[in-house]
Amino acid sequence: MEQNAKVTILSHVNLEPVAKFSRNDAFELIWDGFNTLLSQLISEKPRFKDNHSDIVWIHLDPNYPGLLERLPWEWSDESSITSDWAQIIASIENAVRSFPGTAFLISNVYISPYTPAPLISGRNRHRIEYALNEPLHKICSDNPNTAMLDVAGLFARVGANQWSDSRLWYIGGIPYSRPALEELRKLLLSHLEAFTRRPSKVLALDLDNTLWGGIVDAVDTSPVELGPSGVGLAYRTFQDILLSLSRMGILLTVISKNDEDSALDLINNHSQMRIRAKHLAGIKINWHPKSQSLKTLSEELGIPLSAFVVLDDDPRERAEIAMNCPEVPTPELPEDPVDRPDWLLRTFIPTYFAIPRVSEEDAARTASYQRIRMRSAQQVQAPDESAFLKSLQIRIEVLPPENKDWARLSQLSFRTNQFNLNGKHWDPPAMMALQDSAEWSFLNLRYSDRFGDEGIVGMAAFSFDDISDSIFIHAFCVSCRVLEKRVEHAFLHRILLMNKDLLPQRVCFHYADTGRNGRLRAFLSSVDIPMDGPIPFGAFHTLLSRLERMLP
Amino acid sequence: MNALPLTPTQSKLLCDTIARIIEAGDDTIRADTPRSSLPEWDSIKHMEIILELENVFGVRFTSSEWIHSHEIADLATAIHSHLSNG
Repeated sequence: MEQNAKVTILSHVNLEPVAKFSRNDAFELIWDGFNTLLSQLISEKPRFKDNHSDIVWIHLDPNYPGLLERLPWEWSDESSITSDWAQIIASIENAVRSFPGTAFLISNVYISPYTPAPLISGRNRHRIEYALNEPLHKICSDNPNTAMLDVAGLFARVGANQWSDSRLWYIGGIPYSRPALEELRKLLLSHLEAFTRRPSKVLALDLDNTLWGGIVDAVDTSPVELGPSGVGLAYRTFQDILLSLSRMGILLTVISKNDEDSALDLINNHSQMRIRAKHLAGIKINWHPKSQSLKTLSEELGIPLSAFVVLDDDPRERAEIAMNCPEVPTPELPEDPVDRPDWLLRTFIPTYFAIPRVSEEDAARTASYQRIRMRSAQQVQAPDESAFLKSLQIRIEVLPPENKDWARLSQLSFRTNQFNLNGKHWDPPAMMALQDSAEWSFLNLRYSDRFGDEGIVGMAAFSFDDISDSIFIHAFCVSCRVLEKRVEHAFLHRILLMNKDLLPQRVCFHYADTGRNGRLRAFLSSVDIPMDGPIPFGAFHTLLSRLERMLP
Repeated sequence: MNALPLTPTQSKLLCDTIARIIEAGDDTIRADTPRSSLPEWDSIKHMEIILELENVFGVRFTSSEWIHSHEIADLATAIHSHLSNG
């Protein structure tokens, strides 16, 4: 997404202050006005298309009039949800599907605990919230151009007593208090930034006094602080939160100065440890400078240092890393370990790991990097490259993306650094719009071998120009997890084969030096594409036959 | 400057608060500056001004004062009324 992205706000309540309060160079927030929500969602020519909005924020609040015929406290249970809500859901679905080139951020809903009668208390309130939110979640899971804004979570954090200001509501149609509006603005901006930012993806963890309290060594066998109560519980909760990051695709690694055997024994056998070796994509326990361990991990995982973040309680270690790996953030942890779980949730994760969507590949990423290590071991044992590739039993599939794949393709364009043609970030709406225009084609690359299925590991975009009889490659990214196996050769080969019937003369690459895509440049050079012109190109048939000879 | 029912210090605080919210320059707003000469002072800024004045002076405007305080003098009168009534 480009800078200065335009964001249209659609709501039945007055959110003009959110637009007015937001002075952020990256986003232009446009308030569409009162009561325009439904009409804009069902319009064939909505204003958010006229003003070229990149993102539409849909904010619904059933606690206030203007959205549903009856307020939630008039309902006896979730069966009372009226057809109004179904109509609203259908309208949102209509807009999301009609405008695949626009990203939609959709607020989930909460039900206020303040009601004139205890009809909706406790159980019923939660059931109604669930029934209202479930179709919104379904829209977000079915459509890659959507993401959810957790307003219900924000309501819980701010608290019902601080949430609203009756004067603002009755005088200005603004349902929320000034502090709540400020929190809503922050939540919105953090999600918008997550759309545009290249997120960190590797967390390098210290052990002593970070994952547990105390120091582990071969001589002193004092128990560490890690357990079901007291400060030990704070350390355990800290680990639980980090583990949940791992399930969202963040790679957990360890860089620690310890006796390796003692530390691994504790990691694998302490009854209260949450993060075990199986959750770690890399482990460096030694007495080297931590900057050196980080650089080694970066090379082994094929992930640049700029994608790492370090959590270490020791200011001297942080300073050493900052000195020798200045691109790696080393945030200062709260001194008291009991403050750290909240700090992770409120400050650390939103700063470094804001994730708009979680793909299937994210959830399986740690296991995938563990398979990289198994393949490396296999490579060491194999007598030569050919024998190694044959032993892997590689299977690749090159197919047009299905609806559910766009988010993963977008993620690849964001996260792939070394083998990325030009570093351009593609978001799902932009890709879908180009695909729909029928001028461009997108492809995804799936990889599996005898060690497991890596899912979608590559994406490409190309078009055919019949004036110059040239194929233009606009995007070409392959995850470093599968490089060095001639997979990239096979991927490009398939792309060329698909276009063979068009009788192309040339293949042109929209290459740009990003400073980090040296492996992509080396690949093009290896197939004899001259890299000296503004748009590197090669003769179609020469390139095709050269790739054929290089296939695994 | 002080034609307002406030002390000179309070009047300056009122004018400075308004100037800060609408991002006018220092000393550009006086007690007699008409709102019509300040196009930045729109309805949203009006809301922000009142909420900030509540913080600064430790008072709470009623909905009626909110709606009818169009000019600086109206705001001063409302603040004075609340301060006088303790």
